[in-house]
Amino acid sequence: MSRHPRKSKNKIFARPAKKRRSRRENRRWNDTLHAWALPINVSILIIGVVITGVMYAVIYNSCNSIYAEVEQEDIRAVELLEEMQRERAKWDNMKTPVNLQTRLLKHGIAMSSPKPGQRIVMTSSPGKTGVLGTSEYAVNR
Amino acid sequence: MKTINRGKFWIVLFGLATTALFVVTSFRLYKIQIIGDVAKDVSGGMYYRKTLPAQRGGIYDRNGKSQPLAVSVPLWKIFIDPYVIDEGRHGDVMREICKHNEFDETRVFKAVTAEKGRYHPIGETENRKIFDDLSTNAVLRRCVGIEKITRRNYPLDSHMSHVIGIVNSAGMALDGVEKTMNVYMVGKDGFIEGIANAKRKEIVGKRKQRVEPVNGNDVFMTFDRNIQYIVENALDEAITNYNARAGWVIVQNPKTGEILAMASRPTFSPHEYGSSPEESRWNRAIFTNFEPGSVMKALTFAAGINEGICSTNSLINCDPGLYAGRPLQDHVRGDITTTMAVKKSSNRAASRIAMQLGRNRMNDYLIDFGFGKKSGIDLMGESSGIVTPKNRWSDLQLIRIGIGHGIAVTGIQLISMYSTIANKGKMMRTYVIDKVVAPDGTIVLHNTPVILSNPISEKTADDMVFMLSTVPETGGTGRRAKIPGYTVAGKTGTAQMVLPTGGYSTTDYIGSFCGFFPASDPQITILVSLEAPRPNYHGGTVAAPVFAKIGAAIAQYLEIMPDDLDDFPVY
Repeated sequence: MSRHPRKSKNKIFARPAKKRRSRRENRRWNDTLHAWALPINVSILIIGVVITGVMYAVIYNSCNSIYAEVEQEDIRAVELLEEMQRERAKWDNMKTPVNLQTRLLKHGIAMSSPKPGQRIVMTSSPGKTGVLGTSEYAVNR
Repeated sequence: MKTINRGKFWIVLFGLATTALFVVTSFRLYKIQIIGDVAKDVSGGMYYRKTLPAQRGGIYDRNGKSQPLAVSVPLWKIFIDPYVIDEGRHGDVMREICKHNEFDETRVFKAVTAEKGRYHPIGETENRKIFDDLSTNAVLRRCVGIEKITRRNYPLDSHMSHVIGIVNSAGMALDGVEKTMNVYMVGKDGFIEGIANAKRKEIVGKRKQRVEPVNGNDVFMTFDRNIQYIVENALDEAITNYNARAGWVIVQNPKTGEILAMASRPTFSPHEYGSSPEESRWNRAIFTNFEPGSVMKALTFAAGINEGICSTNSLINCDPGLYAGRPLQDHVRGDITTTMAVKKSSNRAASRIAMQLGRNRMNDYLIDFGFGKKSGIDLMGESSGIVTPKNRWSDLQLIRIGIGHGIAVTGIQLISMYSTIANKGKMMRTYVIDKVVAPDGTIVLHNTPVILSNPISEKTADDMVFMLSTVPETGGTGRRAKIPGYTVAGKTGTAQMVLPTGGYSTTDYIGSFCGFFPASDPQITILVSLEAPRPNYHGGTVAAPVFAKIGAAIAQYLEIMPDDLDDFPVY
C-alpha cells in the first residue's frame, strides 16, 4: 500500500511517492547538477531569435530617430522656403514702379524721360537722313 | 508509466511561452515591416492624416518671374479665444498682446471682450516668434492660438486690380484672371497617411505614405507692368485734371492682338476688396457699353473706301441740308475730300457715306469688325455692346451709326477696330494670357497671335492710316495727340452719355481718342476714354493729350524708333 494518501489518476503528473533518503544519498543529490538542458538546435534558435530581435530593436530605434531628424529637417526646409517666399514678396512690393518712384523722390532724385530736343538721331551714313540703323538713337545731355 | 518532474514542467512551460512570444513578435514585425499592411491597422482613432497644401500658381507679366503681379505668401494668423480668459483678466490680456506693435488695438479689444464665439483673429504676421512669445506668456498661454494661412500678395495694389482680380481669404477666386485661369492655378494638395499615437501625433516610423503636393501653374500675361504704370499714372492725372467721373485706357500691340496694359477708374485695392464700392470693381475697358461718337467714323470711312464709294481724294459735299429728313449739325461746309472729312471729323461726310453703304453693308462691316459681340478676351465681365438688328434701323439710325451714335460699343471692341486698320486690315484675336507654365517648366498653354478676320483690304487699311494720320496735324481735331518724333494716326470722339432713364445727358459726355503710332509701322494702339469730364469734354481736348503722354512714354520705354525726325536734331 502506498504511503501517500492522495493517488492521482493522472499518471504523468502523479506526485512521486516520497521516499526517505539517507544522508549519503542527500549529499550525492545535492552535489549533482540538476537541470533540464534544451536541445542544442532549439537553444541556437532561441539565441538567434533573441539576438535578431535585439538587433532589430536597436536598428529600428536608430532608424526612427533618423527618420524624426529628417522630418525635423523637412519642417525646417519648409519654413525656410516660406521665409524666402515672404522675403521675395517684400522685395517684389518694394520694387514696383510706384514704390521705386517714391523712393527715388524721397532721396530727391526726380527722373524723367529726355525731351525730343535732348535726343539725337544718328543716321547710318553722315548727311543721309531718314534711315536709321539699330541703336542709332542717343541722348543729347 | 513515465512521469515528469514538477520543476522540469515549469522550465518547459517557460521555454514554450518564450518561444511563442518570439514567434508572435516576429510575425507581427514581419507583418508591419515586410508586408507593410498598415491600412488594416489604421482604424478608429489611430488613423493619422495630414494635408500638405498645394500652393496656388502666381501671375506674372510678360517679362517673367521677376515681375510678379500676384503671388501667394504663407503667413500666421493669431487668434484669441475669449471664453477661457479668467474674469477680471481681460485688461492684462489686452496689455500683454498690445506690447507687440503688430496688432491693432481696436481689433484686439473687440476680440478680447467678445461675448460670442471662441475664434477671434487679431492679426496676421509673418513672424512666428510673436506667437511663441505670446504663448509662453503666463497670462496669454491659454487664450492665444495660431493658424497657418496663405495670403495672396498683389504688389501693384490698386493698379491693374481689375485685370488681375482677387482671391479671398478662403482661397476662392472672385474676379479677373484669378477667376478665369483658376483651373490652371489651383494645385493639388498632398497628404501624409499613417498611424497616430495617443497624443494624436504621427508615429513617424509607421507612416504609410506621403504624397507630395503639386503646386498650381504659373500664368504669364501679355501685360507689361511698366507700361501699366505709365498708363495708370497718366489716367490718374487725367481724371484729376479734367474732373472726370471715370475713365479707361487700353494699350495693344496691333500686330499680335496682345494687350499690353489696361486701366480703369475708379479702382479698388485687392487688399480691401470687400469694403470697396461695387462701381470701383467694374473693369470699364471691357464692361462699359458707351456710344463712341466720332471715333466710330473710322469704320464708316473704311467701309466706304473698301466698297469703292469714296477714295482719299474724292470730294464729298458737306453743305447743310436734310439728312434722313433731319438737319445735321457740322462745322464743315462745302465740298471736301474724304481725307479732310476725317481730319475735321465731318458728320455730314460720314452720314453721306453711311447712306450710300446702306443697312446691309453697314451691318456687315459692324459684324466683321466685331461689334455687337464679345471679343472673347480672357477676362471676367466683358460686355458685347449693343447693335440693334439691321431690319429695325431707320434711315436716321443708319446715319447715326455712321457717326458713332445709336450704337453701344466697348473699349476693347473699339481698339480692336483701330488695331485692324493698323495691321493692314487683319483683325487679330485679342488676348491677355501669354502662357501657362507648370512648376516643372512644362508649357501647359501658349497663346499665339490668331487672325480672326480680314474686314478691309490692305489698300483700304493703308488709305485709312494715311487719312487718320492727318487728324493730329495742324487743323485736325486731334492735334494734342501728336507725339514728338512719331507720326500718329487716330481719331477723336465725343458723345453725349445715355441716361439710365432714357434720352441723352446734356451735361455728361464721353471724350475719347483712339489711335496708333508710328503710322509708318504701327507698333502700339492706344484707346483713351474719359467719362463725364468737366468743363472740357471733347475727345481732342481731354483724351488726346493723355494719348500723347502715354504714347511718348511707351515709345521711350520700348525704344521704338522715331519716324518723324522734325523734332530731333539729326547728325
